[in-house]
Amino acid sequence: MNRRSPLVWAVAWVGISFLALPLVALVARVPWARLAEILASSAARSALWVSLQVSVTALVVSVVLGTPLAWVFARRDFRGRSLLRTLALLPMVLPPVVAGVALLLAFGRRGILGQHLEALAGVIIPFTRTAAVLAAGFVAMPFFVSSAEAGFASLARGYEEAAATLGVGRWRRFRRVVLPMVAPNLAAGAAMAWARALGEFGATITFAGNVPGVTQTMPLAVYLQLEQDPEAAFVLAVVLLAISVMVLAGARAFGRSR
Amino acid sequence: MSLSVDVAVRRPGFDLEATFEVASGQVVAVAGPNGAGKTTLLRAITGLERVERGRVVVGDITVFDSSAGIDLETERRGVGMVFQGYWLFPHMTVAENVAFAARGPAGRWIEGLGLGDLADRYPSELSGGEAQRAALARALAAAPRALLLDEPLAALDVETRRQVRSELARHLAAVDVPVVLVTHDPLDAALLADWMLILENGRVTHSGTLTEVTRRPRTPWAARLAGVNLYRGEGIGKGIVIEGVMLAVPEPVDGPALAAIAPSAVALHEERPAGSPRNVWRGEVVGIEPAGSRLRVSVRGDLDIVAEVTTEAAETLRLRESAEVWVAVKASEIETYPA
Amino acid sequence: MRTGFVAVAALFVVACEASGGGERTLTAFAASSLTEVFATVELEFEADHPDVDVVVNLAGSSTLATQLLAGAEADVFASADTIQMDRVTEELVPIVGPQVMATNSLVLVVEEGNPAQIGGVEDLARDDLVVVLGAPEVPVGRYASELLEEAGVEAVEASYEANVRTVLSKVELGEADAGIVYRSDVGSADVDAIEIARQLNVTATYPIAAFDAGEPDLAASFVDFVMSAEGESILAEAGFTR
Repeated sequence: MNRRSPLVWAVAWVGISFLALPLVALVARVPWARLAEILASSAARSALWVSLQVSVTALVVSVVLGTPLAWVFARRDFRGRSLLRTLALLPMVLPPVVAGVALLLAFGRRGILGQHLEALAGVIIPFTRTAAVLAAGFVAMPFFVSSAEAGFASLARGYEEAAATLGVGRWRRFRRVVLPMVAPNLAAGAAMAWARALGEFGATITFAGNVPGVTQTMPLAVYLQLEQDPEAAFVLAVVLLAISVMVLAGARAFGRSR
Repeated sequence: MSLSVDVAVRRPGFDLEATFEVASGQVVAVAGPNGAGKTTLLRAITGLERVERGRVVVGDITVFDSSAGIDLETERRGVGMVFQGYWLFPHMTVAENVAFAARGPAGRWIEGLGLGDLADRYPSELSGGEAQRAALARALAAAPRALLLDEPLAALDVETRRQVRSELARHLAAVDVPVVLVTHDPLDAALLADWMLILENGRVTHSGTLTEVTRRPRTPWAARLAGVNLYRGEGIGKGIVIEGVMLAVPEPVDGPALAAIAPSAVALHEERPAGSPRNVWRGEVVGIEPAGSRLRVSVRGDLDIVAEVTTEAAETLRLRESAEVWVAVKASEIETYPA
Repeated sequence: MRTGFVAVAALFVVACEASGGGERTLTAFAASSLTEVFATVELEFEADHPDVDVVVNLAGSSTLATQLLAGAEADVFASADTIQMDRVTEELVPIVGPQVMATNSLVLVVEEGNPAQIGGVEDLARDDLVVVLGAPEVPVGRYASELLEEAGVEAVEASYEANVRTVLSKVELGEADAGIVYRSDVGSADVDAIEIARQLNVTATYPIAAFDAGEPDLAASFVDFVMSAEGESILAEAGFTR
């Protein structure tokens, strides 16, 4: 069925324009003349640094905690598995500000866990770098877990069984047989998780607040700069866009090279 | 170092019980129809399948004993396995695959199995026969104390199968640990193994050498084995001499050799046939038995042979006991193996 | 199934229309600190003008100004400082005002019971406290930073929130130890208010202006209402002064 359908193409073009136009507009309105000055400002550099630190830490947490979790979901059957899986993937669809409120209720100073942390150890989480990492990690981890789980589940058991008959133990099997073969899934999951962590706003501003140099990430800086110096906001926005494009391109290149 | 197996595996709708012992250097074939439980048996020995009750001893180490609560993990049993799907690691070259769990330098296994030119290739670039050799090399390099092969030739096309079978026979002869080989092809059982077990519906129905098993087959499947024409003779290049009869063969062979002819490859004629077959002799029909939808015809002659023909063909040839027939076998249908 | 869907859709449309019962709509953009004030003003104005539906958009004044400059349509803008009002009037010409409708002053709020034992703004420099303030472009944030600069106090690692109500709620929830909000915000919130010395405190001026967004007469009369004696008493009740 090779006939081109004009209607299908027309609708497709509308869709593409819808997605592309705002991005094109962003790039078009950037005040290139002020680019250097804005990027050199301490506020911009601070926000960028905070964003990088928070998003990378959130990614590491997502990978370290998420890999065993994905493994268990993919390979073990146990009571309540279905429910736990739903819970683990829920932050993906939860409105970010709702996530922020939930984090406050758990880790805030009057939170279920937070109150004890303050009482026993004097540890306060909201408004700290840790809070920003928790907020970003909370919304980003499910993206990694979902992708990793799909990778583990789709890997034929035969490879691990063969490795076992060769006398190779569990950990070495995982490192040298499983991981290399699911690497594309893990990479894709990590890329999406990182991008999500980088762009996190609602949960961050609610739970971690807006402390310059500590929790003021790029998205927060963009939001607030919009009311102070819109052109600065455009520049920061375009930087975020550029980073997102690079992450996407990098992930695709990695996937294709395998 | 021997392998002693006594297992009972229970699964919904299926149960398997088997007891046998394989001595060092012996190759035992576990043959039988599909679904008999052959693969399950191998998986039970390696610990990949849950065993209800039983005992498995590899050399002097008990790897499984249900009454003593011993159940070693697969990686600690020292039982190597070549799977039907080979499962070569796709992200490693052949050399890396073989070296992966090798005890000692992998080079001798790569060379020994003729993989030298393929060492830097990836599994996706190998043919069926090459992949099988690579899987075997990988398993042997890990110095197993027993070796299991699950349908080693099943994934190959008919042409490759013959060549690989003879190579495999050579390699297995050089292995000095107990070998268990699973197959549904009677020819594999006949030519690769020292003795065999026939497994049907989860139970061992026959046990012994080919001759012993086929002397009095108790089940239809065993009877199929009986139909394999197997001869011992002397190879002299392009031919093999068996009991004074010279048969032309496709592959040169020298010295003591085995020749196998599948019953379905034997053509029967009323008169001496003209044309291509070079292996022709005269004989007398001494028995006709039904074999599924066909007939198995035993012929005595310069060489005794069993042919498998359709009932229509039998009618046309007016086959009956004591009838005179001419036997013709194309050279290309004869498989030879160094004995 | 299909009739059910149509019925629900119809109900939805009717509900939207019924929410004011009016043919005319008046849109007012108001600073968050005016939340309670404008709630009352809305009720009173609608009572006086039964055919009018008042819709109030509350946010930080800087956010509202940005929205107006980006083309949002509003009949009335009530800002918490003159800077944000000036931003708007530079581009959009008002038909009435800007006029100062109220003034406000700042107050320090702390957790109920003051467990951290905060005495005054100078304590905001303590590094064991979690402090929340308004962001610099939000009026209350600007006022607060002016005040702190006057007092020579530097709040270490404070969180800068997008509007004054968020500042208040973070203190109320116990997530922050102290914050600076308007006196009018304290109201019935579960916080303790600590006075700020008169010489340090700032006077926040709230200008209000009316614009022609399709209902110029209505907009003008709304501003008149707020500026009237009745409006003044509503403001006074909420803690504002004229």
